[in-house]
Amino acid sequence: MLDVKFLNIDEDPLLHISKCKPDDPASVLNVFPTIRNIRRFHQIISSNGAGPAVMSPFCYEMNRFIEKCLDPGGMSIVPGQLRALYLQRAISNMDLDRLSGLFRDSASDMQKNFISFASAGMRILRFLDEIYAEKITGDVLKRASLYTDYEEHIAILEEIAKEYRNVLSSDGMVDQMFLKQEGATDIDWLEDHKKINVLVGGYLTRFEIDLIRDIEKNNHVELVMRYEGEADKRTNSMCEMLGVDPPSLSKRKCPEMVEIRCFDEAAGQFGFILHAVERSILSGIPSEDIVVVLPDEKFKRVMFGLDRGRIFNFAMGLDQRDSVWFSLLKIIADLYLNRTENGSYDSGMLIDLINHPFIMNIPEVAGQAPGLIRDIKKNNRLLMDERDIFGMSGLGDLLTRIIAVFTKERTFDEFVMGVVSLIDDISSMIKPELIESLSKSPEFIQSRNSLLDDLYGMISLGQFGVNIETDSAMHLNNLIEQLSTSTYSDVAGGHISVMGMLETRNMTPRAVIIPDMNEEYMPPRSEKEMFLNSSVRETIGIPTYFDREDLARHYFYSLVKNADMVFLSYVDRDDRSVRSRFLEEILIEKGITGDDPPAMKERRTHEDLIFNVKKDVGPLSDDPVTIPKSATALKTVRRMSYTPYKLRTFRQCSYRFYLMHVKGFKEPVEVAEELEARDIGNMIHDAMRSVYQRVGRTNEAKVLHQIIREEVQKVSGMYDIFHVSAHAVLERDVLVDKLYQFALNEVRRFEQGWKPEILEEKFEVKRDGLIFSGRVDRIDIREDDDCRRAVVIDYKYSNIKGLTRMTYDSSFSEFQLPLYRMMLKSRYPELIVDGMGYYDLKDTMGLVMISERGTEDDFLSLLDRVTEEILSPEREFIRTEDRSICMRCGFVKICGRT
Amino acid sequence: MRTDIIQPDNNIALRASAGSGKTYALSLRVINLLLRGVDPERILCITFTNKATNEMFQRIITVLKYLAFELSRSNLRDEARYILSARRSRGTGQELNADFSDDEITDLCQRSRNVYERVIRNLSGLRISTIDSFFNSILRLFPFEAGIMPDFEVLTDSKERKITFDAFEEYVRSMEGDIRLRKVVGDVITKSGKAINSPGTFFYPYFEKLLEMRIGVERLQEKLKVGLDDMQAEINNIGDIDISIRIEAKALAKRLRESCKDISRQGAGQIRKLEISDASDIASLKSISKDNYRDYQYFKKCNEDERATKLFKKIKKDLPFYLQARNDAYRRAILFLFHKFALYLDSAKKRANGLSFSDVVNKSYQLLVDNGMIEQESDYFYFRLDSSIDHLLIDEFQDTNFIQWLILKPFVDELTAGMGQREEPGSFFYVGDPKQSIYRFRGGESRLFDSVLKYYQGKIEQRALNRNYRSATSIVELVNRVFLSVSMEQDFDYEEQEAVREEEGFVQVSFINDDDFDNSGLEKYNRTLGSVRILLDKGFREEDITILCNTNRQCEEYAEFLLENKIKAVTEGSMTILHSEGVGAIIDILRYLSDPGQIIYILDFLFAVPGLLSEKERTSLIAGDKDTVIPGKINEKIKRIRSRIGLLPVVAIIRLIVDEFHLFPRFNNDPNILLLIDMALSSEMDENLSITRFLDFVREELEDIKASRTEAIHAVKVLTIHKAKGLEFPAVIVPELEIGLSVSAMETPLIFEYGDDLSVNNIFINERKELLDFNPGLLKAAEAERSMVLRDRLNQLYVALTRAQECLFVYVVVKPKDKAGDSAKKKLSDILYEAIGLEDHVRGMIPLRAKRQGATTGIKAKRRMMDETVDFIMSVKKGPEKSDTEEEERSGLSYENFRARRFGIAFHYAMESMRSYNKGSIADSIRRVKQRFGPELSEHDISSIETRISLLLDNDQFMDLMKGARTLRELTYLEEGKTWIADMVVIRSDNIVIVDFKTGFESDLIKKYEGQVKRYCELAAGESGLSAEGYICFALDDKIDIRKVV
Repeated sequence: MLDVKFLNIDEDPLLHISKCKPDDPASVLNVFPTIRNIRRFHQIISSNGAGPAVMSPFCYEMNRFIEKCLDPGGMSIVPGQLRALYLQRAISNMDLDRLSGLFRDSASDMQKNFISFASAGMRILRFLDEIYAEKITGDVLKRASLYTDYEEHIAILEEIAKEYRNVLSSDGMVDQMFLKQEGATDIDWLEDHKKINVLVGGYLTRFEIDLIRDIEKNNHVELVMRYEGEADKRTNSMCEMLGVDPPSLSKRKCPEMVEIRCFDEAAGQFGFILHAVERSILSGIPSEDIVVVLPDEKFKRVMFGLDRGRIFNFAMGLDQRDSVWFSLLKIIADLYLNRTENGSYDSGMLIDLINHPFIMNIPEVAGQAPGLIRDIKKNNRLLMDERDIFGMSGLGDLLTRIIAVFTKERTFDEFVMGVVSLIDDISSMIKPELIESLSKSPEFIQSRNSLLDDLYGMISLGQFGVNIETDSAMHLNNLIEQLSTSTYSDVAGGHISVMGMLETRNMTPRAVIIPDMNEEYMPPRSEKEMFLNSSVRETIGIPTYFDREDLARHYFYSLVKNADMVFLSYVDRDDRSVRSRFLEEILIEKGITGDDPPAMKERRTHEDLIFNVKKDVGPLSDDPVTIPKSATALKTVRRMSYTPYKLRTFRQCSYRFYLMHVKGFKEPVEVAEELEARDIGNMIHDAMRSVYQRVGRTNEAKVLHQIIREEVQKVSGMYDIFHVSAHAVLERDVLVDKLYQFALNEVRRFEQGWKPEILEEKFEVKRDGLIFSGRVDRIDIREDDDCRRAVVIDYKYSNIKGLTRMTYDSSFSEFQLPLYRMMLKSRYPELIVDGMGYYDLKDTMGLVMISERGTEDDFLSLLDRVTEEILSPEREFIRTEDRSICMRCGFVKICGRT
Repeated sequence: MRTDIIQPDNNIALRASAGSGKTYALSLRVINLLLRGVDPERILCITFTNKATNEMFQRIITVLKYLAFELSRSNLRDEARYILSARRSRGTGQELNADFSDDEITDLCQRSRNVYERVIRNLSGLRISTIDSFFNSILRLFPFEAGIMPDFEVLTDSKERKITFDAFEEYVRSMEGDIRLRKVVGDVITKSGKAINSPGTFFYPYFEKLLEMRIGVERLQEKLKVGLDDMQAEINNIGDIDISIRIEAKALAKRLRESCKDISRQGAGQIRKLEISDASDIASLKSISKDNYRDYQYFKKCNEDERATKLFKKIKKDLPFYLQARNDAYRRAILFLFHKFALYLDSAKKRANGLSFSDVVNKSYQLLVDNGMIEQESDYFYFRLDSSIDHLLIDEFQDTNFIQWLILKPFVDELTAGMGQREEPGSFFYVGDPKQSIYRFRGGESRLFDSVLKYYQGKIEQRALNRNYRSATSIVELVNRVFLSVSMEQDFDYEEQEAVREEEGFVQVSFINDDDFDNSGLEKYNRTLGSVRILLDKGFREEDITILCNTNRQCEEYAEFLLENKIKAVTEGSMTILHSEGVGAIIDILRYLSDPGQIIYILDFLFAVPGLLSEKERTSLIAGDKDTVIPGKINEKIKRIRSRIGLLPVVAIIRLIVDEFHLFPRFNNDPNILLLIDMALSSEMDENLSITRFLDFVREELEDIKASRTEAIHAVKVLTIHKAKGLEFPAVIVPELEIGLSVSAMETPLIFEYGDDLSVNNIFINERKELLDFNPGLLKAAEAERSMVLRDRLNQLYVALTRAQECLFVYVVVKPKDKAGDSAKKKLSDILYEAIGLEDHVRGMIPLRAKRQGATTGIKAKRRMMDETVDFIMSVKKGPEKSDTEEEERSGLSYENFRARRFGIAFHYAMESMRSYNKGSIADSIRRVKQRFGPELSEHDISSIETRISLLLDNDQFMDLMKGARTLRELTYLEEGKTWIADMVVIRSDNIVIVDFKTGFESDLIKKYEGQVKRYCELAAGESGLSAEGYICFALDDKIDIRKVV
């Protein structure tokens, strides 16, 4: 016997079911759409019970109920996580030409590569799931479509399904969807249950309706559903299939208390949520009766991160990939999978590993970490050699243990067990204080248990499907992939539940809070089907996207219209879609047909609930732009030696000079992953020194060029970038090719009698109480009849425009060459210095001589003025007025020049 | 506005000047279609930005809402009049009617209500979308046909940059084994004469441009195909010619030195350059540009030298040959290399399963046009699309690029084909303003507006909106004056605009003579500052004022100057989240936390947060003699935060930082801090705990993220003219109208030559201006390019002058000496100068505005102090809501325990599934177990379950217990919110027996088990009023052990 009980949208279906108190609860079986419904049903009957204890009727969640009613004929039902794998195996078995009829060029990729297959695979499964649950056969589909292309696609999909079934059955398995389509059910087990209540959670498929039809032959079935009136197309069509007439019911209005707000930033909505919770609590609604619904589940991250009181619990569970254990495994995986062939590690990933809180809290490693990180950044190390690390005791031992798990050839099971023991290993090394403090955190315990369960589960299922490969990289990818979609239940959360829309089915919370009321989420934007379009859907009588959106509407209103208080917010930003149609509807219902009320437009609200706003900002102080020269500072500037670089800094901005050389602050350094001009400059300098150590002078440009080539090659080997980047190598080689012109120019110079005599010479000159020091790139000397002439040369791998004219005025800051000349004259008084110049090694490859506007004496008197300025106790360190200098300065924030 | 614009019976090309109500017309047309009963799904309305899409949606909803719910005779707004007139006139195109009957109004109201409800109910059926997302949605429907995966991702700019970078790296790596190719690449770079060694820096600009035009380029590729060897030969060849020209030049120099005695410095310079330059530098020498060397003024005094003349002529003859050959060779080489690179890029994108915006367009083109889907399989296409498109409307048509148009063209062909071709009559409507096309550099093709009109002659009617609703009369008058004059001189269509607004407003155009121009530059800033102050005095708010500059750099300069003069100003740069000081400070401290070795980051943080350090602390940190020590209290806080790093999500760390240091109030409640938190919502943030990843992500994305609501910030906006397109402002200042009309040679690395149908016909490598004359093909293309750029600049002027609503200040720098000169050097200022005359042009008065009342930023009224907030959070019930018994019971975490647990569950399920307690039921029960647990149980497990059940059935004590009226399995008892599930309950006439199964024997847990069973018994007894016996039944592999508990 079948009864259909229609409830108005404002009636509570769970209350309705709990009211039919059977004499013998054990003879009743209730089927609910969600476990949450069962829990709430239990609460209701337990609070209604007369005695201290109540016996409950049997309760099933719909999916479990269906599973139990299916008869797989002795086969096992394939677990969800293996479905895509088997489907791909099926596709791999098929004829490529045939598959190309549907997948075109992607077919072979899909056969070979699981990763690129996965998403398409899920679509195929979703398609098959749906049409089989609706008991649609390929013939019906083909009849409904008008196009041969389409028919062919359907035929291919059918063949895939057939092959999928074969592959499964050879492993003793079957997919539920086939059983549904064939109606392979076994309902004998229901004979003890005189009454079966089925609470409908929105929509029943044809299979479900047929199943109920079968059951009602021997049992009394009551179908309970909420009905919205004539416009409820979805229920109407179900009723048609069930052969019952829906009644006419009245529509209920939205509650009086609906608050709507608009926000510029999604995170701002969290303050509104807290405000809503507060208002609800203050108006006497208990925590358990307040529900936050997330149309965009990603918002969970923001809520979890900002919820300082932990007042929310996340019904959808917390994500394993956000757990500290997963992050460790992910870092290890990245580090291992990105290893170079010769066993070097990416230094950035190594830093990630060292910075992981677990690793950082291993005492043996903790001491080594800062030094290693400093070394990596300072020397721009892109790669760390295995030997460099394995030699270290703490970190080396740890890495050895980690790598051991992956390097052996193992089966997947052994591999996973290796990972488990690695987790144990690391746990045992971590400082006990950290473990102890973490063990108080329920999320930590829960995520670890769940992680282990997932891993063990993989081992249990390992005998099927996944155990094809023995390559540890493949295993590792596989493992991370699987874990990254896993969730664990939020057992430590507070009493206010946060859930997705589906989870709210048949719930009647008194306060409902919904952020992200934007069109893309509410109703959820339903992607157009690749395989079935709306007209085919309509023809064969399965839900169209319009029906799906209408179902979302049903969920929304079931929730909102039963609440006492409703809080809705949306985000107004260009990258979001417009506010939800449901909001528009509610506004119309509330009689707001013109502009939005002012309160709704107020965009900055409740931020005080998110952040601490108590503190009043004290009086603001301006940043000091000059610093007086203290006695200590004076001592420091007296003592240090002045390189051309330091002098330049001083001249350009004495404030910056102060910070760098007096205070000793260092500008930030980060590892650069591209070849930088600075690196090439250094490399060339090094190479040139060796070139002229090898060869004095030659009149063979080709020979010289060859030596340059060899030396550059040798020197560049010391820079990681040339081991990592083929582009850097090519750039280097292009430069070396260009250096042929340099060789030609050099030979010409040699022919004129010049010879590079002094190379990379360090000097230190005292003058007026200051020490000047530096290193000259090169000094060329020519023996003339009566004297020895010299030219001071500096190699430049940067733009030399604007540098080749020297004027010793207030803007002068390029001390290099004149300072070298000064040194040269004091060390080799017999030399006649003929000039100074830059060797342009970037572009023209020529030596560009400096033209001086002024004499050497002008320079020296300038130097004296600078010396005086440095040493004068009255002269302060002053921030520069030339902002172009600030562009490349790392201290702009400190001096207030952002 | 003529009412026929909104009639679907007409195909319309609507030329809509700035401020003439373009969006208004478009949305009314959509509404009229809906009111005519057109199914929303059959309308496709294409816009160019998300913002425009949202505005269009909102506009349609608002107008419909008005028509449906607010419409009355006394409240008849223009929207209603247009619709009513259109309904009455049915396409006759009359102007607005004045009187409408009550019936007409009621009828419209009723109809609108129906339409409104229908549209709102199925909002996603209304297809208003950006052109990108329309193509995107098509690719998702036909992924395999388009050769992509169905879940492809549209790449962000930063992701695309990274993929391109990696693909280039891979491309270069692939050359490692190919010496010939590597040599060609090396030669191309080294022989280019550019000061570039990095292959990436050299090739990217070319590749970028080619990628933009990929479809057109690929069509051309065939024509320009060349082999590797030929390419090397060509490059060698041009190298040889270069050398021979150099030799000739040297020889010429030698002759000149001999024949030109007593030569000037300039002349000597030319000779010196002849000696050392390469061919292309020689070509650009002034002396070489002459017909004869002695025509060059500094060689005039040279003696005649036949040899020199010969050499000169030879060089002049060789140079064009060389330059053309070089251009040809480079073009081929770059196309050849591009083609290969594109393959790497494609496969990198395929691996990443991502497409850039332009890929989406290109793939759509291939799918719909190349494969002929729309033309040959249109029924099938519409079938998959779910409905046909009967009405196509395109907004901002001048921004459509050629390929986009080619994709849309088949639709338009069909819609304009006339009756009989379709079931339903269709229509096509496009609106735009070629005068506002300033996105040519992004492919926007203003010529399309007219060429489409011409192509569909007789099928599409042109209409224009020439009434300006935006600007005051004096501004409209200025624009008319300038552009009517421009249109007489240049190829520029302009129709006079009629001002609708009645107020006069204010316009001032001032000409500043360049000679008077103060080089220190302060004068121009002061001028602008003065205008800003005048406006402020008149009651304008900072946010009402916008300064329009030519370049970003200029924007920064003006903003800085205003700031220094205590006037708040924001630039586009500061309109990204990156510019928020609050966000910057948080990033600094995050950097420090991820690398505490770098003290500078924490100092940056400390100095960036207002009021965090006392004056004394600030001074002592910087100027103090002692070592830098972070103040103790702050250090404590940092330590506290640091101990949570990696354990809490980054969002929680950020909140902790914000709270510990009171950053929110300290940064004046900066909403960008919330925006930073929003970044956690990005699907690319897949590692929620890692600060380093967050920082990487932030570094890549921040510059693309627009700051929160800059329009709400009370500051003068300083924008480039480009960015101002589509916007309007109460008062506009254009401080340096000096947009040069000359075309800088290096603006684009490649020059494309287009055919009459706008497709790419040829490609040239762009050259310096002086070299163009040597290459007639290039010269022609460059001239065509120049005229387009010129047009672009004029459009820019138009945009600049049409943004203001009430007040407009324009400062024009004129250089009179340029005026007569080369027209290529002409500047926009000259055009203004010509149109207006040298006198300053001042019209109207600056209107007075009511002063603003109170600030609206920040939290309006502090509702409560923090402590009270905490109170309310405390009042929310805490602690786990439910106690999950299964979770609690879990013992140990070893694999064995896991297996034992799963085995136990399977065994219980087997017992639950026994239809009756005889051996005949075992098989069925095992079937059930296999059904549900099969894949995770071993054969041994299953046979063990079977054995244990067998043993149970053989066990007399067990079978005795089963003797009762009913046996219930997995029975639930409820008690004060707690749930107890008993494995087996046997109901007898006089008592109840409860059996709890265990599949393992663990002696230390027995006490706990007994407690449970006792509880079941109490519950059962209480519930039924009968006495209850309780047993623990150990169903082991080899024996059954039943213990009575109660």
